[in-house]
Amino acid sequence: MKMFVCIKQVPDPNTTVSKLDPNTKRLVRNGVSLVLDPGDESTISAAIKLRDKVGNSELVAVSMGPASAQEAMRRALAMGADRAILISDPALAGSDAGTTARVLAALLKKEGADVIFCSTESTDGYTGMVPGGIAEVMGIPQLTFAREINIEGQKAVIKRVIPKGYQTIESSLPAVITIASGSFEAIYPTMKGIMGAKRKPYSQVSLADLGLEASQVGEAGAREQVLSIGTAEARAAGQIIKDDGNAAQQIAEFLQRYQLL
Amino acid sequence: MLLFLAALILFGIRAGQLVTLLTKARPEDRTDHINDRIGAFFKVVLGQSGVLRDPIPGIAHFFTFWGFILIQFGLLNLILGAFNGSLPFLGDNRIFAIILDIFVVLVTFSLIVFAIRRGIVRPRQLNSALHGPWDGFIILGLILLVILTLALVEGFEYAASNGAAWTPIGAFLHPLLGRASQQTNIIAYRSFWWLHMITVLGFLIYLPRSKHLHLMATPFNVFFRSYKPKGALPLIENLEEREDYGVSKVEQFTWKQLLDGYACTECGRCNTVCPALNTGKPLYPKEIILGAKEALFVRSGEILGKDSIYNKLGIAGIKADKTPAEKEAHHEPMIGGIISKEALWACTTCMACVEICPVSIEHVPKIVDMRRSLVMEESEFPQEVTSLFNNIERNGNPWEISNDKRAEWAAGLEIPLLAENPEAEVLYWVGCMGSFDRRNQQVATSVAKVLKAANVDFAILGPEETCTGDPARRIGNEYLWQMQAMQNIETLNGYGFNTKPETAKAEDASTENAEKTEAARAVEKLGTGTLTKHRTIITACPHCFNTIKNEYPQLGGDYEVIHHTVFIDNLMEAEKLKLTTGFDKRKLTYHDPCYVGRYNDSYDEPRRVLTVINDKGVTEMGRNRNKSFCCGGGGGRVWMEEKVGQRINQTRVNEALGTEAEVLAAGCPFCITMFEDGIKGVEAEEKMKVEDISEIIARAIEKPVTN
Repeated sequence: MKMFVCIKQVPDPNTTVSKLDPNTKRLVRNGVSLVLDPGDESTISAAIKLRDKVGNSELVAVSMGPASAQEAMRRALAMGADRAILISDPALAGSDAGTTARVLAALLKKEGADVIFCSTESTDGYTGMVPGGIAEVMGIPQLTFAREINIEGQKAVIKRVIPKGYQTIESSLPAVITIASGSFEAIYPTMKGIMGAKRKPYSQVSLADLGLEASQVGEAGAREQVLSIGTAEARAAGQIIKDDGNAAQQIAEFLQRYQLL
Repeated sequence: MLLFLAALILFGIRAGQLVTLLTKARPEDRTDHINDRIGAFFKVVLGQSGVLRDPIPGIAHFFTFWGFILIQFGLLNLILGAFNGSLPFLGDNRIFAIILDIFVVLVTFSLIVFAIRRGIVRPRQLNSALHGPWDGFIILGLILLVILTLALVEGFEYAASNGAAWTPIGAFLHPLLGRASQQTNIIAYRSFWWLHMITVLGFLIYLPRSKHLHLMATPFNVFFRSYKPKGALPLIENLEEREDYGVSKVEQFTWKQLLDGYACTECGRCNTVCPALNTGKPLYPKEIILGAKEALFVRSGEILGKDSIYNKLGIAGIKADKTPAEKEAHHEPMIGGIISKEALWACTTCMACVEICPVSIEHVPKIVDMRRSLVMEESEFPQEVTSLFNNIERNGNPWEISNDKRAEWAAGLEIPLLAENPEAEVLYWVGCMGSFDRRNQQVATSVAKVLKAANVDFAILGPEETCTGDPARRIGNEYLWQMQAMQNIETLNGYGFNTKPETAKAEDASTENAEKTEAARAVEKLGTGTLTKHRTIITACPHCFNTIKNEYPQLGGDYEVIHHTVFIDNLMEAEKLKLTTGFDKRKLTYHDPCYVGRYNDSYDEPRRVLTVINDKGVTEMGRNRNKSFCCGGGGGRVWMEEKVGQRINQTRVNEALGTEAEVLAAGCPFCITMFEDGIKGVEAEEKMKVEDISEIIARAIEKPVTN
């Protein structure tokens, strides 16, 4: 079975205070430390788990981005992906979520993907539109918020997180599966993984390789536009309960008010 | 004659197999410091200094040890006696006979002590998960039999020779043995002679597979003990080219690490001091050593190979499991089987076990070697550690904080960065805790205040400093440690801190005294401008201190690193820091951080400092100096959850509370964090405060000097 995981290199969300460029209205990605999206680490781990469970399968990490994204791809390989493909082309700069989905879909189609893993959303742009876009472009089902994944015959069966528990749903293959955050522990690479990653197949493809025109992508092909950016309102201060004997009671009441208990 | 030969061959095969197994292990050079080794052999083996630290069993062991050696000479004499010969000098020497018999009596008393201890007192540490108590009793029984038969041999020999073969015991026993005929006496003498021989030979055969293997192995183990800095874990070389990382199979240990297993006397002193075990964690340091030994025997067939003479002989070999069921029972594989992973993760690397071991067994490096395999080969470790590794790798500190903010604590304090003052005499290595942890930022501020008061020309690295890698190395992530270490070494070398050309001349400067003079020398040179070529790093973090001082040299980074308590002591000694004596009136106790005390032998300096500023001096806890009980934070434990048993930090806090001190003085940011948590945990915030020594000094500086 051919399994794919779509990943992204993002400004380190833990240490970088995101800055927006007032002119382009886009996230500043230069001069900040870039890492494999921490959310993707869980997604890759979920994919590796499934690959090993199904057996006789290959897991390929794919990404669209500048050549520097190679670092993030190496991490995916160190974690256990079998090979990696980076779609990189100067014309892709300024692509919107729709374009990203179309470009990734072109590659996934060409490669003949059976299962496509995505994180629910990226930790920088947070549009959350790419996975759905891929499914749409490819004309295949999307299974969302998976916390457990199985392949049964030619079907994907997942447990899907819902507010009060989970649903078991199934679909035909190929399919796009997005992961419920916190459901899969990120694998920390072994030394063998880190060293082996340097020898695993890594390729870079261009638009032409995918049969796409420069005019369809990037700024030129973008159908989505950022109109304005602004500062988020500071959140109101939380409520501090001082314990004079019935703090537990008060906290319980507070949680009940929001139906959290 | 045939009996002797058979027994000796059997013993030879068993001993040969044990030695051959060691030759199959990894190499390690233990031939440095040859004079010290010979000295230690006399002191620890012949002088029994190790076991004597625990007086009652220690003295009993002393007598048994020497008694045993004398009996061997007595035995030779007996054998030669049977051929009408005798040993030169000793054979017909009455003094030897007297000494021998005195020891026979002393050994008998010792055996009674041992039997009472094993049978009635039954200290918990003597138990072993691997076997019942019978091994110890068999040994005691065998020694008793050796002694008894010897006494009877002497008695009947005396009788048979009509007193010509004089021995004190013989003369003493003679009236008690009745007036048997000459013939009977001769027969009895011969019978007991044989019984004595058979017992000794039986002992010899039994020995290799019992805890009494220590009798043969310990002298070697003591001789081959480590003379490297105690705080340095062994380096894994060629990390990027090798196939294995750490130890998952027993033969990946070095021969010395395996010899530890042979040398273990199963006395369990390590168990009595282990902070993990004593708070209910499943870590028995003794079982780690014995587990490795057992694992070696379980795998001896595979290790020796099919063509090995020992495998072909089979009959005489050391017990090895043959069927899969037997192997199952012996818990293969080693890690997760005979040695539990929980045990490995419970270790705080406090080194109390290594310190107390009378036979120089090194538990901690073994534990870390097995952690290395779990981390680097299996990616298996407590879940909390993943973010620690990721943060150190990406941010250069254990948290999700950008390393750019490293100098923010110093804002407004007028502390130069080394980049601004590259000629500074002293680099204050702040460490991650001092830089980012709110509580320890106060300590960093105090250290800076003290340095300023003493007019020390110092600077900090700020964002150029990055985690030393210590927690990563101790958890088993050697790769991450090496990456961090190399980065720091590059930075420090760039500023000219490497001392290698100078230290090369005084290579043996690693002993306690040399360390003191090193710090004193550094202080003397302050302000004279002579430090510009040879400069000092000081730090308030014992973990940074230990790894930079003792481990960075493995990667070519040799620096003069001094713990701040030692530096302050020297500043005071040199009168560069003048303080009000007895300014602090509070009752105070001091906790020796493992990495300052046991790791680097600095016990007196912090106490000297505290004694000057506190009018009552230091009120000691029961466990102090090299017996100090860990705060629970070492070995990366501070980054892991403590889910089993009582909390180590609370246990130590309760001990401190027992002294009724108001202040628990510390010299380590992790200890401070652990103890403040511990104090909250036992709800003693009103009773006790934790303070770094530098904080107390900083307050003393603000007081005018009155003396």
